[in-house]
Amino acid sequence: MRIAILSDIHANIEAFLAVVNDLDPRTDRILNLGDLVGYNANPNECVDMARNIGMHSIQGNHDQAACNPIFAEDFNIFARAAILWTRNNLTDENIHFLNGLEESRRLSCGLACHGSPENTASYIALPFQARAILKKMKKGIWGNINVCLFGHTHKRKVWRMNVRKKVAPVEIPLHGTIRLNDEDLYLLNPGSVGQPRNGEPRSSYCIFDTENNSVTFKLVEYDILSTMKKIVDADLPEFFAKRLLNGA
Amino acid sequence: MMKMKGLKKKGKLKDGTEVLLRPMVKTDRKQLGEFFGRLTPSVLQYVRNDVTDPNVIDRWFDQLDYDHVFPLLAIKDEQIIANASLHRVAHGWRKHLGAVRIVVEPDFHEKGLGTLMINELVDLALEFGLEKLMVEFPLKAHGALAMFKKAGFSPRGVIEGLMKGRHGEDIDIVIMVMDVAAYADKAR
Repeated sequence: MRIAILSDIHANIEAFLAVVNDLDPRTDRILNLGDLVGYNANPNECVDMARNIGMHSIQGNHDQAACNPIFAEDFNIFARAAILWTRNNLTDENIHFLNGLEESRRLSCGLACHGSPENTASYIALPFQARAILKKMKKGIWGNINVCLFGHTHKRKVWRMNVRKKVAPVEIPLHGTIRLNDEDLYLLNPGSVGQPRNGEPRSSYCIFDTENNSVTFKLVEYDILSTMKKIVDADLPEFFAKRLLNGA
Repeated sequence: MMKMKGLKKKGKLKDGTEVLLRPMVKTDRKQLGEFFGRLTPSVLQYVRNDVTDPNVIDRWFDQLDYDHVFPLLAIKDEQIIANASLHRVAHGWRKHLGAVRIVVEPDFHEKGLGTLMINELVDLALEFGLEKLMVEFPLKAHGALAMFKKAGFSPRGVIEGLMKGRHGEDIDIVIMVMDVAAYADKAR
């Protein structure tokens, strides 16, 4: 089975469309690791498209805050302003859809979550954070899983725990494939579709091939200037538009 | 110039007092001058610039550049009661590093206002793509030490006699640093 893994689309319809158009026809399933909305200016278009293409979505912290603004109180002033705008612009039907999403899900390729399996808003960004989650995976806290798929940081990343319990990041080729060892445990972040922060403005996603146990990372160009214009026209913070240019 | 419309949030202090946090904008010139005017010389000696000189404050407002310095204010009853700022360098070896500065009106010390503002700056640092934050202040400022520790900073060095007080006495400086991603979600 070939699963396209997307994350952090963040209401960027241009990027979302570019990634979907880039998918190989042999793709069996599309999985989204959360944050369909927030930051950018097309939340309804992105939720509509997610529903129309039958994408399996996990709930992210921005999706959660769009459904229940009390969660927005924890956001910084920029993210908060954007999520309140999003809430005001989402249709009731789309709020209902986002509200019904699960925070994590067991799949054939592993456990899917947004921030971490423990909390939608937690980060797996530093070695000690990766080690803590991998140790719990080793103990079987979330069942017998070898791979945890996560997003939230907007940065493509793979962490591996080998049989000797050593945890280290795995180097990701710009366009290339990583083969996963059956004996090792992995944390895998596909990067962000709608607001990449790797210093690379192209949308990032990956393909998980469960038959040969490999992950292929992809980068896709999209019409950034259109997305930027929509942000400015919607009176959302201009900072969100500027950051798209350099993927920061 | 980045627009700051709608960027604000309410916060609650330990005693239940509600304050408003928002970025400083051009129209805050008068209020900021009044804020610094209420501070005593013992507090002002630790402020990096001579804020008793109106030209210094004028220059801040003339050169307001949020990509370089992001100034955050705490407001109560339309008065500024604290001023914190996140300083960034766009290029080079400090690109990932932010520096934090904060001044809180003495009437609001030990009420959780400093912690509230530092937590917001930590969240903003993550939003701006910073990886580390640093702060330096006098070692004897025990309240500041506790506040920054609570926000996730840890002391990484003390430099004895680095600064001079207003009466010429030596002042030891502590440098504290934090990994932003380690504390961003915990700070909330």
